[in-house]
Amino acid sequence: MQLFSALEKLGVLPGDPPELRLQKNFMVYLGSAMSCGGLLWGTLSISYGLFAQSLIPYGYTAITILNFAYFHRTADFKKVRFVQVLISLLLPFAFQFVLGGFAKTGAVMLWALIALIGAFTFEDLRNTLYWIAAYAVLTAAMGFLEPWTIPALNLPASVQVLFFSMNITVISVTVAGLSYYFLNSRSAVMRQLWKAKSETDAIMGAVDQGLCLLDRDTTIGSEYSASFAGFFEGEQVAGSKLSFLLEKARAPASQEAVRDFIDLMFEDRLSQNKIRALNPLAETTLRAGEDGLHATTRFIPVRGNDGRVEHVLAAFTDVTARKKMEEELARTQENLRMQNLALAEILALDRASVESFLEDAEETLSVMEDTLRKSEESRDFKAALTMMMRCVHTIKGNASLLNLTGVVQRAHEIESQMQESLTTGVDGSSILGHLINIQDLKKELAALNELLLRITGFSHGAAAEHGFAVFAERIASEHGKQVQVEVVAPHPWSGHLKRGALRDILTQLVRNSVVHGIEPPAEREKAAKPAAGRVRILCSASTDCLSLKYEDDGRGLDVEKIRRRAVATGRISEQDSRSLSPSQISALIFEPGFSTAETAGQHAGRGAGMDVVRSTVRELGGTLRLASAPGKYLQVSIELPLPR
Amino acid sequence: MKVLIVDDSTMIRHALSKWLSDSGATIVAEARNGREAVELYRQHSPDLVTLDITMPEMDGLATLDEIMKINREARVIIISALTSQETTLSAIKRGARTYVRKPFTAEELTEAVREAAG
Repeated sequence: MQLFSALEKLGVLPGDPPELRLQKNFMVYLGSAMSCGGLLWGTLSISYGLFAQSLIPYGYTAITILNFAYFHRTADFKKVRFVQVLISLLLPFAFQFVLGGFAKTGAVMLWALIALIGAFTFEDLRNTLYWIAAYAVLTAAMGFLEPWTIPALNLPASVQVLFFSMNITVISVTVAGLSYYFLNSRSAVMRQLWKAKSETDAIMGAVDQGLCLLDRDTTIGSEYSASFAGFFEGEQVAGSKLSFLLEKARAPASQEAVRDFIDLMFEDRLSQNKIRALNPLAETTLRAGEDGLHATTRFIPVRGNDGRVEHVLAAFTDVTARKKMEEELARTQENLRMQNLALAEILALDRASVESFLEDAEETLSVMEDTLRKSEESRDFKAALTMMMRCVHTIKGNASLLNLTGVVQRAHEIESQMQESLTTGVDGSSILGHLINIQDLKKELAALNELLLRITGFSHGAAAEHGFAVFAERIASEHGKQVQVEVVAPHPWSGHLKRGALRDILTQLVRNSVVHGIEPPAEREKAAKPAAGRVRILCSASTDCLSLKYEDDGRGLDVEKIRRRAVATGRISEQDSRSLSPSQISALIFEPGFSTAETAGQHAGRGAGMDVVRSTVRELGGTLRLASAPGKYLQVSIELPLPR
Repeated sequence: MKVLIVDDSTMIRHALSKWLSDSGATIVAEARNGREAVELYRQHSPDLVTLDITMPEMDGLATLDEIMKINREARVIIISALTSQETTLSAIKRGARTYVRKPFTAEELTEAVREAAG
């Protein structure tokens, strides 16, 4: 048994694949079996006094031992198996020739058949064919050479038959036994391989990294993970060149760079760290565009027993989701920055417009939420969604007028999604999705509102004019009026003042003019005025003073109405009111909470307007004068000292 | 060890010169472009060349080729930038011993010199 396991180890290297190990074992067993035959025949020859002839079978055994010793030392399978097959084939024929031919030796050449079996199992296919040919030629030749054989062994026919029987038995059993052993071991190896393969397959199918082995010229091996194929959808992967697949997938790295890089891994000249830093695919895109992928890659050298790099393991990781998130984040940040920029500019122009936009938007949103709640009961999701889409569209339109890109973008996305829902069919759950979107939009608006509170500023020139014009027209249209705003400001409106002060003043004045001063078009036409009211703002600055002339061509101050209102709200007594001059009465409009409007509208009438003007002017140490002609105009002159 | 420094940036040449002489090397010449580099390589046959891969006149790769033509055993360290990854790969393929990437430290340079010498 010990001998058996010793033979099993002969010439076998630790890294040998199972198949090769089997072939080596087989050769050793075959040689051993035939050596036994050699000993048997050698002894037989001597017993018949044929000393010279016995050298052949004994020689076989001796050469085999030497050959195996050599095999043990060098593990040079190629050389050893050649020698073994050669002697196993030639010596039986030679032995038969020197003993006296087929009949007399019981066809001892049949031992060569064992050599053939050996060749089948452990030789190359090509060499095996040569061995078969050699066997056939020798067998045929022995037939022709029979008359010239040396008749050394002359035994009775009965003994010859015994030889035949012995040879055939031993050889048949050996051949059958060896075949059985080989086939059995082979199928065990196959089973093992199959098991290993199915395990590999399972791993390769489950692992979410794209794995494959590469040759030096970037050719992809036959085993690769399912995810790897996913990186190169629709492509033949096994046997293709990675550099080529990458180029087809429009990876930014050049084919040449990929080849150079992989080649470098095989060369082993640079440290692994330095090679890794040169990886042209460390982060790469594949198939840029909608279905594009982002991948990170690692390449790991796989070394053979001799320490040389035999393959490179490529590991691709899909980082598309992460990358998209990063991009989204970057875009959001960029948007926010842009929005801040745009916003700062806009706010400087007309904070009022943005304010009113926000108010409107908020109202619209609450209407939408209402609609949504009701749709839960009515189950008419389609109508609800259509209505909501209209609302979002309105918000989008208004936001785009004000150049609020962030809001426009978000509203647009929501609108498109709603549109899609409408065409594909609406149900409760899809409505819910839109509700989340709307919450999102609300958040966007809230952020805008916060910015609005944080950023105040004031700008100048045409931009400011535009801002006030938009604002005035907006309020006017809500009140069924028309208005034209004209701003004349030859110098930059100073930022020396408290930030936003001038704008606050003007905003209130414009609001007051549009709501109270300017008449509806019909009334104006009756009074022979143009249908659109006019607001003029003239701003000029000297080195130490900023002066603002504000004028509208509305109905002016109705002193009597103001007086009555003041009395009615208990600000002054009827008696006191009689003793006040018209200009003193007019000044009452600057009192906190004073408004001639019966009800508070969205834009004026809460009485919070004109007092802001006066208190701001006072705060800045300025002066304020009011002039008015009933039915003609209202003028406000403000002088503000500029800080040095 | 005789070293030739090739770089179009005066600052980098200074840094390389200082660090390399600190570690015991002799700076035999400094070149500002590829043409000068090839010329000076012929004159001095230095043991080591540090070669900027992105230079005006004759680019780093062409310079490397010329130097390798003069001496197939030339020891060249590529001074590369983050953006010149592919060129660096190509330079290594063409025979440069190793590379350092800008910005680099004195230690990284010393390490590279050791790699190139080994």
